[in-house]
Amino acid sequence: MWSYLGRRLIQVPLVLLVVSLMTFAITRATPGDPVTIMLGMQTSPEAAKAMREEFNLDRSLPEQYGLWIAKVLTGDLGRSMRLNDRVTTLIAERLPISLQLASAGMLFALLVSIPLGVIAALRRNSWIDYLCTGYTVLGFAVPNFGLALILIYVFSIRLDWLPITGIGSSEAEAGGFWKHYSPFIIPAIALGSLQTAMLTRLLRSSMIDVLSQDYMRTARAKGLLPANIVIIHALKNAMIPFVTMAAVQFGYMIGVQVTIEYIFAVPGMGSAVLNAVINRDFPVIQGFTLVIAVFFLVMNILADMMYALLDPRIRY
Amino acid sequence: MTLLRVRNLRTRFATDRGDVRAVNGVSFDLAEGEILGLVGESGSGKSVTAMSIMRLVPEPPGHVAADSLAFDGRELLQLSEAQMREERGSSMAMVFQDPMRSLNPVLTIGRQILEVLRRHQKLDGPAAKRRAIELLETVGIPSAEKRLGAYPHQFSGGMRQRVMIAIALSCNPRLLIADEATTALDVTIQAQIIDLVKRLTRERGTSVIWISHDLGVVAGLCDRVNVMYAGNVVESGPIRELFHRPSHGYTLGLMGSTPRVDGVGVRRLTPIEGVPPNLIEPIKLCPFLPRCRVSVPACQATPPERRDLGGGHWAACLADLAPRSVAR
Repeated sequence: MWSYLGRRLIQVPLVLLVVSLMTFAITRATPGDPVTIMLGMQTSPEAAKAMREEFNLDRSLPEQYGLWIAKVLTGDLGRSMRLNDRVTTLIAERLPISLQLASAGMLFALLVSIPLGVIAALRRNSWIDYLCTGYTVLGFAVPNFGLALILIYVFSIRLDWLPITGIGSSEAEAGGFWKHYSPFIIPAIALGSLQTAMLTRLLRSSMIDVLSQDYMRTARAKGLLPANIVIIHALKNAMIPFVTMAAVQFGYMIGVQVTIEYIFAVPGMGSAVLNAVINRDFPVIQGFTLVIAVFFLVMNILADMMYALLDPRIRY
Repeated sequence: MTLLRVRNLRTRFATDRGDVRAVNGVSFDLAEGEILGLVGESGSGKSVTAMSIMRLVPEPPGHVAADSLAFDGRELLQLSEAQMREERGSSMAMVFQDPMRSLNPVLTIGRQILEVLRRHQKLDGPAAKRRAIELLETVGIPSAEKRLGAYPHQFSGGMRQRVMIAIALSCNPRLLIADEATTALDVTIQAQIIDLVKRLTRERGTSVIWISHDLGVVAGLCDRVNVMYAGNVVESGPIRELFHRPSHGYTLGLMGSTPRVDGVGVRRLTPIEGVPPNLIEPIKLCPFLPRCRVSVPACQATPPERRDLGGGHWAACLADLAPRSVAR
């Protein structure tokens, strides 16, 4: 187990190196000059030159990358070209918000998919199973921004039950529990819709597989209570692929909440990256991508660890 | 004293093409302390008979009916599912074929034993643990205390089947059903397991239904045998009687296709030609007739009745096979 973890951790810097190189290459290959965007067309050549020098943009590409990565290794991700803040400061502000939103999205996905997947498997080919299948098809088919707009229309505009925005706002932070967390509800549902569908389907099929196993017959032959049979004997087995998938998806959600953050004006990682891309704010794009990659890798390793923890047959 | 009385047990399964009559009128008695063998080829209804007695047949698609299915004087088909749960694992227990897959891979052996004790004997804590260790020792698992925390994949096939037996016997059942319990094991282990079951059930006076397609195993273990074909018992009798005087075309065929190591005659193995009948179609004559080598003209006209051969031995066969069996 520990040697496996060690081997996995050694891979992390390698993956991050590739990620950083690719991000660097993509930012530099994208048309659009950050200096022109930042200072405008009418700026003086001197000001433009000064900014190029400040951000090393006058150097060759290998030099630019080398200088950046050398700083990264010391924990310095540079400064934003536009906001004049340190990239690490921006991350410290925005990562907790993104983590909260992703957690809320995953929490919603788990709360729906676990009962739905189990019931659908237990009542196979019943109306509730068909309902579950229909729901998962919708979850796969409807893009999260589409669902977000529908939810806003119904629950915020028509019914006026839930706020649309407010995540991370000072007003919400100062308010009570409801004031603080109610702005998360709609974005979390929209963000987690794909994962809900995916996890429901996965749990349903792995439960169906487990229910047909011989050890389930043994459990029934022991006269155990149905709840015990389902939760201890079936769910514990069916949860093995489920938990792994959930962990991987959680890492993924941090990176893909761009549209959701944009719609709900969430000051998280995603909206920051989006703005940085629009403004060609190279240090922010590179720094944020790196952090998202780290998070994704950590969740993947964690998923593998949980796999070994849940299934005694797996030993790394 | 009769522990289990089965009369006209009928179990069918609904399929798209019609009802499959997997068990079609099985009747027998099982005395207390008796070991009854159930033999027959795959699909003959042995396992479904056992599952029907345990009421473990999934309904739907299955449906179990009987004129009587009385266990210790109680009609099992009239018990609710909750009442049945009290009996399963407690007064009636079952051991299955594949010990590799019959134990839950993610739960420790200890947990899988303890849960039965907790469920049926309200045993918990150190007392339950002591009992579990005792059970594992009874079935011959060395350093039982340490093994409680082990997972099934850390055991060999034979050891796992011992664990299954320990679980089945944990609440001192009055009836133990073993469904092909030694089929997946190699022969030396088979012999050990059979000895174990024989010893433990004799000691406790447990009645056993031993399901197998292996005549040799049945001969060495059972008091009486029911030979099953196409969902029914076609011949039944005390072990010696039946083996010395097989009186049904199918029993004869079964014996002819089983190798003997006792050196009685050197002969070729003769397989039973053809396939068992489709159990969706109603069967009017003898179900074995199309494959029978000893049929007589009367077989084409009337279905066979039970013919009493004395000493508790009977066969549902119209051919008189007495002389043949002597030749064997």
